[in-house]
Amino acid sequence: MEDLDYQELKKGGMMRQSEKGRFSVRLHVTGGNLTSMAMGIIVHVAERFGSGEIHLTARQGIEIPNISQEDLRKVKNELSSGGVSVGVCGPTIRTITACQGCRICPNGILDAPRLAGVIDQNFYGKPVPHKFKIGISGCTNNCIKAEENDVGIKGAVEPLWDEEFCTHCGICQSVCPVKAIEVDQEKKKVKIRFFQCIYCGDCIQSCPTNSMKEAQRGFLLYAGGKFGRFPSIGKRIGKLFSHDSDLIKAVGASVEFFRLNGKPKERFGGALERVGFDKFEEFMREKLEEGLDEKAA
Amino acid sequence: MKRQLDIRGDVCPGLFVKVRAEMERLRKGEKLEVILKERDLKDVMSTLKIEGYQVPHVSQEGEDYRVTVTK
Repeated sequence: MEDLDYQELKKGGMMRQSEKGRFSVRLHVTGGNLTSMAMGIIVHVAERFGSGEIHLTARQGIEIPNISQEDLRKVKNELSSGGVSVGVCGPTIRTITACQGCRICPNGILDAPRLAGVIDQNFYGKPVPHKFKIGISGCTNNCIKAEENDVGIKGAVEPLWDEEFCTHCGICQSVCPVKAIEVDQEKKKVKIRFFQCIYCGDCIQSCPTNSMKEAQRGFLLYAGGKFGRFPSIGKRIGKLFSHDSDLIKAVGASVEFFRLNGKPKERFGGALERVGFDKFEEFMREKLEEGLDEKAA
Repeated sequence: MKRQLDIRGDVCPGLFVKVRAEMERLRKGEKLEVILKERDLKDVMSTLKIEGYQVPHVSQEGEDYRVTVTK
């Protein structure tokens, strides 16, 4: 094997194929979005260096299979001329997945692809004890399946009842998927049981008099999920975070906790089980408060 | 007379098409009463809100809702 090729291979993203000497080139895709220009260069590379086949991976990635080892460097250069870079593998932070988000989807609360981009710029490809997957669902319908990621995010909104124009029609109570709202038509009162609330915002979207308002818009964070041979569901950490200021800090705290406590070949969820979710919650709280102090200063 | 639209037998996306078409036929100030199942309440209400219609009256009869919409 040529030295240069070996250097390229070590950087990752070149997946060895069943057939000797052939590679499937993994691309860097963020939040499931690609420009038409990027798509064009991918098509060109697949036709010129591959077999014309393009594979969509399980987590919104793209791989171009059937690339010969001697073409790897050329493929990389060609791709980068169109603004496409090669992806990562091994113990790193992997593809940040996202749904279409609120710019496209009427249910959306967060601009999931934009936030995926922000997380990508800060964390993509960075080293961690074992592979680390991050996914962002724009709302609690959770199309991206937040709980199967090492860190999963869901857009969420906290309701607030404003009695001024409320007609006590009962729509909020009927649409609430977890029956957290009680409308008392006689006393003309509406009660929201927040310990049950999943912050989906259905009550706000359905209220005919805009009496269910947004108290706060943000995100819920789930940690320690994975699939593979032994699936486990991520657990919710903390309450509702405010997305603008806290997203990078919360993801950063998760990565830092994993680096401090994780072992090779052990996923984030394994480390959390071993060290304790409560320890992580405490660590997260401290990290977010550090930020608050800085703001106050 | 109030116009009526019964969408209890319809499913997504057909029911939205019906509601939209009926609303477009409505003149300003006219009312439309939509009769729907509770399961479609959230989707219909949020669609009406996004499209800027007013919902001055809502009543419930068992699993059915009667929603009055104005332009």
